[in-house]
Amino acid sequence: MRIANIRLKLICVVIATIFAGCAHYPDNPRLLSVSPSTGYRYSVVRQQPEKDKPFLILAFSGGGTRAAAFSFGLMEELRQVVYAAKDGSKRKLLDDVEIISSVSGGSFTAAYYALFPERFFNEFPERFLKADVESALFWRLWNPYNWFRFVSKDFSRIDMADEYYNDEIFEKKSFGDLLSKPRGSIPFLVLNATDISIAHRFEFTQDQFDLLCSDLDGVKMSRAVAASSDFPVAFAPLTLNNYKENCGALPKWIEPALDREKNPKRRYAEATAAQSYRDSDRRYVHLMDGGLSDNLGLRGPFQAVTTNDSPWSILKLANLGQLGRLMVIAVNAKTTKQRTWDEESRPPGIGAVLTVVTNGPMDDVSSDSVEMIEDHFGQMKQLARTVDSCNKRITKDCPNAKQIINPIITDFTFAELTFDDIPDPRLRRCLQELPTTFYLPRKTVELLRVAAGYLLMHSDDFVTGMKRLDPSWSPREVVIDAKLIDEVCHSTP
Amino acid sequence: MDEFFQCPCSGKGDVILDGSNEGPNKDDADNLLPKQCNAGQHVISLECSSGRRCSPKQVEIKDTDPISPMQVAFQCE
Repeated sequence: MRIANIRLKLICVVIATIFAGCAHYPDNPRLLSVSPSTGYRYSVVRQQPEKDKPFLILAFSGGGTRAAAFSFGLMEELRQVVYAAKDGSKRKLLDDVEIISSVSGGSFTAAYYALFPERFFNEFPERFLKADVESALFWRLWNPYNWFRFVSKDFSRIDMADEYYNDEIFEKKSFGDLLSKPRGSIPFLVLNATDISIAHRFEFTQDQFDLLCSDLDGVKMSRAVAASSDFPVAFAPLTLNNYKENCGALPKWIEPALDREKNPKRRYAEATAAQSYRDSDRRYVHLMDGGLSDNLGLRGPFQAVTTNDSPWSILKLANLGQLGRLMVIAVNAKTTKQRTWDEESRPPGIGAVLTVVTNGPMDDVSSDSVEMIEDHFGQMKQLARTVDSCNKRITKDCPNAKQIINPIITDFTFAELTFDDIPDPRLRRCLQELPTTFYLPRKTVELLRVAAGYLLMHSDDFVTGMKRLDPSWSPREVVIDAKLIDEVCHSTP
Repeated sequence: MDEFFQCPCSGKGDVILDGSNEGPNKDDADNLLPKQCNAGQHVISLECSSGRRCSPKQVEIKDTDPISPMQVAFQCE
């Protein structure tokens, strides 16, 4: 009798293992034919921009809940920035957000805003920022049902996290739900991950999915956010199917860009990466945290601002005369930890080394991105000034000569919000020491929100840009409560 | 750094850069409009307003500036 019972239990375990071993990540749907007028693309989601309105791009960095709360603080502050438009009406700057490009932790904020803009400010703090997502994921990991599912080669920890985000945060919404919203009502969302096979940025837009012959409309928002925040080691890579059947030709810029002799290295690399999705041996795409290729979410906007190759090229809008004022605000939740490793001869342990290996490259790429945007905007301003000076000289010296048409009519503003710019050394150190996790105490979340507002209102670049937009505008006073600082930073000397 | 080019032509039309419409080649006063692009090899054509098409040209655009943009000339045939 006892032996029969053990046998029965064993059979049950074997059956459960077999069925759970069939667990599979959600397949991204196949796309039969590429159509530039449908799918989740900038030109489909947004209206034609107006030259007189600011074209605002937000970039949200990685950094777990710290980054999500810091980005949320910026959104709260933007809601309060009201300026006088050219026609005299009052406008909220938040309504001018055209594009949000995000990475990792910042992707939770960006995706939630795009899906639920009307309840974002009331719901998101409780739904995500103040929730203990880390513990919730941990307990799902210890659920015996998931152990059986992990036996499958097609189901891993990141798919489990995807399920949690889908059920508990994003209400099972997909990119198709974003497309069903009225055109122009929400910013264009660009969630960035990293394609680890080619070490290249991968964005969740239909233009990117065209390369895979896959339809993004049927992909859940949670899947994109999971890929964007798929932190190395903690999670396994996330898999997408690459169908690559003949759904349509590659974008036309790729062929001329593949001429190695006649193109800059960066352009050639972009074209090679795009073309690789149609290689016969690429049947799947493996993604990890967007921070591995760009921890600020700025690479996509940089490509859009500097090339006509981007599917959401901003340079093209300039050529069409639709871009009068470009503003980019980057929320950089980067931390700078003080190490004590050099106080003794014993080298740091494996945990410390892993932290350096995973975070080091992300921080380097981020610094490069900021410099690239700043340099580019600086160069464009200088070129525009040169043409203006030339025209003044022509007017003075050759009054009958024709003026030179200045192609650069755009006003450029770039502002970066970073903890490094907090003047109070104790608060600065306290924020820089915050961990990268999916749980932070409620007071810490509050502090990050206020800090974002404070930094925006104290950003010289932002204030100067706003003054050029509306000379009567002035920044509001944001005070960070000393009691809140004491409560959060009590252990910081 | 951005590059600059113009498409002189006896007629008016839309500049097509690597398959993407970048707007008219001339303004209402018939002045040539400079266009911005990234450096490298591009396929440029002109979609003439008269309905006629110009043969696309493959050109390498580099080392230009807004005062002396590269000239990519067409004739509406």
